[in-house]
Amino acid sequence: MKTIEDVRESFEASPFFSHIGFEIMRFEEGDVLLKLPIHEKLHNVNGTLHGGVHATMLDLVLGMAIRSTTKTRCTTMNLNLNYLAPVAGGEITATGRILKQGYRIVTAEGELYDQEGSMLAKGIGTFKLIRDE
Amino acid sequence: MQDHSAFFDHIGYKKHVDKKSRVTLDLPVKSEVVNEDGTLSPGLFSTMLDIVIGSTVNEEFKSPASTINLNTTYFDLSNKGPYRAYASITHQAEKVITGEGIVEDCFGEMAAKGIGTFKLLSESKQ
Repeated sequence: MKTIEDVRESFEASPFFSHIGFEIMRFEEGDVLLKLPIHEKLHNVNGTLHGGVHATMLDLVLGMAIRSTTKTRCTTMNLNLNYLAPVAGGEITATGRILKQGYRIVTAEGELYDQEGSMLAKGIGTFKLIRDE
Repeated sequence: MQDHSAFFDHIGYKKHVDKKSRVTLDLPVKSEVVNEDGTLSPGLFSTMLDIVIGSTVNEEFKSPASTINLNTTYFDLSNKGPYRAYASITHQAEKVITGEGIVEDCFGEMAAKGIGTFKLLSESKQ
C-alpha cells in the first residue's frame, strides 16, 4: 500500500503536471486543493483560460481526491464539465470529493474557483480503480 | 478570427482545414505532455475535442464560440500517438450549437469521444 506522500509525489513527478504549472496547496486524505497561476500560454483565442485547461485541472483534482483516499491508481472513464464563467488572469483553485465509491468504479465531483471565490466550472467524473489482483 | 491559441501552441497541436471547411486536429505527443507512468492525461483529449468541435463550429457558422459543456468518454489513455481528431455538428438551436468529436490513435482506434455544447458569440463580445 502506498502512503499519501507517495501518491502526492507521483502527481508532482508528472512532466505534464509541471508543463501546465499546477501546484498542490493541500493534499490530505479526501481533502485536496490544487492551484494554477494563469499564464498567457494557457489562453484561448479570446484571451481567457482555454477550456482544455479547465478540463485538465478538474480531471487532476478528482483523480487526486480519489487516490488520496484509496491509495490506488485510477484511470478516467468519463468527465463532464460545465463552464460557468471565463477567467483571464490571477490564480485559480480546484477542489474535489468522492460522491460514490465501489470496488472498481468511483464517481467524484469538483469545482474550479477564481481568487475572489467565484465558481468558474463544475464537473463530475467517473474513474476506474486499477487494482493489482 | 485568430487561427489558434497560445495554449494550442504550448501543447503542440496542429490544425488543418480542408477546402470543404472540415477540421482535423493532430497531436504529435511530446515528452512533456506524458505522465510519469507513460500514460496520457485525459485533459489532452478533452482539450483536443474542445478545439476540434469548437473549430468546426467556427467554420460552419463563421462565428467565434464559447464552450458551455464538454462531456468526454475515454477509451484508451496509453500512449499510442500521434493522435488525430475530427468533429461534426449535431444540432443547432439559435445560438446554441451541439457537436461531437472523436480522437483516434495511430492505429485508427478510437481513444476518446466527446460531445460539446457551444454558444455563438457576437464579434463585439470577444
